[in-house]
Amino acid sequence: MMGVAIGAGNIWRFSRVVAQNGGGSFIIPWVIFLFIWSIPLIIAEIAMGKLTRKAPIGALAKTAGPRIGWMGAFIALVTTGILFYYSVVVGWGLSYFFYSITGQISHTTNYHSLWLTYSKGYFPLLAHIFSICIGCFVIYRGVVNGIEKTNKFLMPALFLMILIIGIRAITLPNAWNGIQFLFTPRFEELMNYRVWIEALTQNAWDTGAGWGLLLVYAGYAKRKESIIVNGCLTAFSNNAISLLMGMAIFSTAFAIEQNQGIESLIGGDGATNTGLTFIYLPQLFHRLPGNFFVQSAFSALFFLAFSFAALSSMISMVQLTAQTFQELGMGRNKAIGLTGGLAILFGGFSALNMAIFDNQDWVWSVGLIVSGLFIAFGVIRYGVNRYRKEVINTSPYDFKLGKFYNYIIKILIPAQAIVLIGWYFYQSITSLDPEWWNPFRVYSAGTILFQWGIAILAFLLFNRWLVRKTLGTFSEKRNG
Amino acid sequence: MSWLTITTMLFTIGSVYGGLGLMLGLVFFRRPNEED
Repeated sequence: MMGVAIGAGNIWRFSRVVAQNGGGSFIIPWVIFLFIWSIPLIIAEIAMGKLTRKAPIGALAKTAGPRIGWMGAFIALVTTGILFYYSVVVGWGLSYFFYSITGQISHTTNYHSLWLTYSKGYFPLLAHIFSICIGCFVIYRGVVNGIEKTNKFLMPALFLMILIIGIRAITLPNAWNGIQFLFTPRFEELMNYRVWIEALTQNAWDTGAGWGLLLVYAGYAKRKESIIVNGCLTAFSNNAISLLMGMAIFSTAFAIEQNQGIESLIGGDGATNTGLTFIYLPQLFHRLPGNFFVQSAFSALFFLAFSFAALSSMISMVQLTAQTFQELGMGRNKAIGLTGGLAILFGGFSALNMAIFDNQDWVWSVGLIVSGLFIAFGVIRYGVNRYRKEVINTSPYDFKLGKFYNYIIKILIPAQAIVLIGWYFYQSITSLDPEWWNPFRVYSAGTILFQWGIAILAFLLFNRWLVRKTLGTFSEKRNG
Repeated sequence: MSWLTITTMLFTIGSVYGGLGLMLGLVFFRRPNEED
């Protein structure tokens, strides 16, 4: 389960979002949301998967009734939307692995330039297509076990390497400024709605809360397998890796930049910020003890492990989308082919254009808030108390959840989602952006409304068809 | 280093790594409770 969640979110995205949102000001809400958003939702999601053994449409329809099936379709769409550009990040990792084994990383001195040249060329597109092909091939050939076995070696290797680079990074001269940036909040930034939205979405990105991936995974788990401990372990371990990576990246960035030019790094958008990890990590490898070959080997092994961690998360996204198509009546091979084709096509735009990449990351990451709300809504419709007693508190390997969980799902989760999204739209419409309605701006409210709106409208219109195809009936009789 | 930085650091690291340690402890040392 940890393999599903540990991926690009912890290594690449965390540092980028922290840099854009003020360091310590971001870290506080990020930790708060671990406890009041991610962990309760992960538990709900794993339990829903074990209860229904279906992809999101069937899971929501079986838990909350057939009229709610469209919410499951939205959850599946959000994760598919993320898949379309996630594969681009997997491609970046594979490309940097290639750069490591060919010695380009060790020979370069200007890593900003290397990243900018790379990200503006066609290589990211080829790497994106290659990573989607690997993902589809793995599922088509049913060799997910092979990937999991490889991960059993590469995951501990990744942990060990993150620990080594973390220690090396914080011992660099001037590194302490990076640690201070990461842990010093500024109150004026804590009043910014975007910091809170990004903190919630990043925590969901780190842990996998609201993606539907753990829901699908839990569908294959044994009945007695732990829900609560497994869920908490997934959440804590993911955040632990993110934090360690954050310390490594910011220590290195502040040590190298010596506070000069760091302003353009902090709070900025665009290619440099998006590629933060790919600009600073190679420089850190360059400062590891050992000769050229040792540094190149370390760099290669790190980017290989990163690619595999991201690839295993990406494969679970391909699986979710393909399984959704399959449950809608499509043959297995066609479902995998369609998923791959759509991912290559739509992800291609993100691979070639960083503005589209950033737009898609913003639209579908904020969509995770709605996905989480929909999962909580499904549990509320089922009956939170009944869900807690009959579905969650069933494993002999778990401790028991008390009544406080009912209040978190019934009150806290909906309140967080409504307040944050409401705050965002209110701010967008009233003060921040005169062109908030424009669907073609990268971070506008209009782009979110436009893309979500079309999807929700279509799913509402075809809800009956979606549920009947998935469950074979549109009966109101619910699971349990 | 200010008290604010130290407090934030303790809060963040304590919550994340403390939670991870607790869960790992539960995984390794807790036995299944069949009567539950």
